[in-house]
Amino acid sequence: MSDLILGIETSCDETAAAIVEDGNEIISNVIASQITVHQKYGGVVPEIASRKHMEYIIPVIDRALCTAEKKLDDLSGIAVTYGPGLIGSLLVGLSVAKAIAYARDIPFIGVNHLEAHIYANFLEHKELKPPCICLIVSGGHTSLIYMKDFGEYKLLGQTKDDAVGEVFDKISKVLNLGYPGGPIIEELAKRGNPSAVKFPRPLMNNKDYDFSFSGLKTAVIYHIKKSKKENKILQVEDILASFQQAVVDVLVEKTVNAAQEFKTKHIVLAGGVAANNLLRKDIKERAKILNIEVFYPSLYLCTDNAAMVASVGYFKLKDNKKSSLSLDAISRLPLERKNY
Amino acid sequence: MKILGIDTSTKICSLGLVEEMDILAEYNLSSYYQKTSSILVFAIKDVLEGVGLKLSDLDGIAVSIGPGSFTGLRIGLGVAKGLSYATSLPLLAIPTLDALAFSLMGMPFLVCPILESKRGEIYSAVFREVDGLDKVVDYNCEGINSLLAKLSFLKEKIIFIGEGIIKYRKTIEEKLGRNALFVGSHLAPPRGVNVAFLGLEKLKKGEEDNIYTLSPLYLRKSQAEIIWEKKYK
Ligand SMILES: [Zn+2]
Repeated sequence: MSDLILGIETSCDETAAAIVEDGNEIISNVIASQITVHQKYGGVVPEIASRKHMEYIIPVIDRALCTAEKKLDDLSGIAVTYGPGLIGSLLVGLSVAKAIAYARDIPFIGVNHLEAHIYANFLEHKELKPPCICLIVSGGHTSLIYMKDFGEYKLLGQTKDDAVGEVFDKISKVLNLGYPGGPIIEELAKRGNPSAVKFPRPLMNNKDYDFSFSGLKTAVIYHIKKSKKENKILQVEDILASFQQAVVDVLVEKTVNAAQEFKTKHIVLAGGVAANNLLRKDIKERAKILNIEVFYPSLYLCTDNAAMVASVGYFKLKDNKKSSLSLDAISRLPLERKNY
Repeated sequence: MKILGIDTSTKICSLGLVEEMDILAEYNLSSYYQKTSSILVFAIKDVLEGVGLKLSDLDGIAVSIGPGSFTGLRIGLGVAKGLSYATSLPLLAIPTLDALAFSLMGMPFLVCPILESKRGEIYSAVFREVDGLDKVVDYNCEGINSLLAKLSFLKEKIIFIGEGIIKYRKTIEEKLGRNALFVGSHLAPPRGVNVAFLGLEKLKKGEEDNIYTLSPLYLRKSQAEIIWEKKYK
């Protein structure tokens, strides 16, 4: 008999629910995005995100079940993200999930959002197995992780300030280009010269695996202001291409170094910024020379979704790692913490 | 008919289970010791098991819909929506201030429940009993002085209830003098039983809320929206 898991995800600005069979077969995958709601603020507003989750949550869960043509009684488990993320947003999905699980006596599994991002790769690449180095990059996180085995992680480094996706958003905002910044900047950068401006590559040559992007952000903004002041014609495409290259150089360098240090043959990208084509291309080129294979999910599984949550839920349930109904949301939940 | 009432609009997590005019069970715990989101589902389980009932024995789930703590309201409504979705029981949304005023049914005075908002403002409404609660001043979120200016025009005795009386009692007394009456602070917090009783009334009238669209009664926009509107409108 097959196991069906309902996944629920509300950690940031996507309300999502999905039905996944046996951990790797997506039966339905529903995402209600709030991008248009947050657009005018140039970034996610936590209180507004929480309110939207409350409006969307039941329709989204119901649609995931309906399109899968399944009922609550068909489920082997309900998996929900309980951190890291925006606390008010997390609490909506978590509260609804716990209530349904209790009311129908369905096993309940709390899932770490970062672990879910990594599992988006196992969902799609059935041949992929740990050990691997995982780079999780999005508007909310920038983490480099060594995954020794299923469920065994070591956090190698993370950003000390802004997340990568956040920097794309902020620079896009300064130039009035729109939100979210990632895809807009990537498109414009295609027509620019990536070596036009020499932007810093923060911490790139440090021995550790931590990141820092606020200095780079300041350098880019300073460059824009200075050019405007000197009445130079702003070469937006060049600036963006140079900025994007600086970010990608740092990410590639650290990730490939980690793969070498831990002698793994697999690199896994995850999170919204893993959709960036320059990052994918550059890291593949560097890895190829070292005989390292690079994996990343399709676009719709890079950004936040509930299929990846259901996938983790399935494997945890198989491992008998159910959660208590007293599980609380944890905004800064580290990956290593064992809290089932 | 049996109704479970949930009130998590303040730091008290409160549940009440009622059958017609009777209280079957009541539960109150301050989230000062344990966070509401950790205890709520277990508390519901305990309350039901304590009286030997199952969710399926209930006729409806009533929930305090606000105003109050935004996070608290979302935990309560999230759990209520989940329970209602999973059991098909009717969901009955009850305004928090109505539930507070319900405690004082039968008093020959105006009733004004007050709750503090996080930004130093007051959520309030004024009720008078005429065959049930009649709202004479609508739900509002404003500063204490603006509220008191409005109330002083009523020139009637007003009894205050709600946790706001702890902080604002003196200010209210100074402005309204002998027209201001207060319940004891032990009666100040919202109670799930009141939510349940009002939910029962609502169910009997055939009213039911839609779990697909229902949102808390926030009475206050997010700070980001307020700032944005000031700037662009
Ligand atoms: Zn994410």
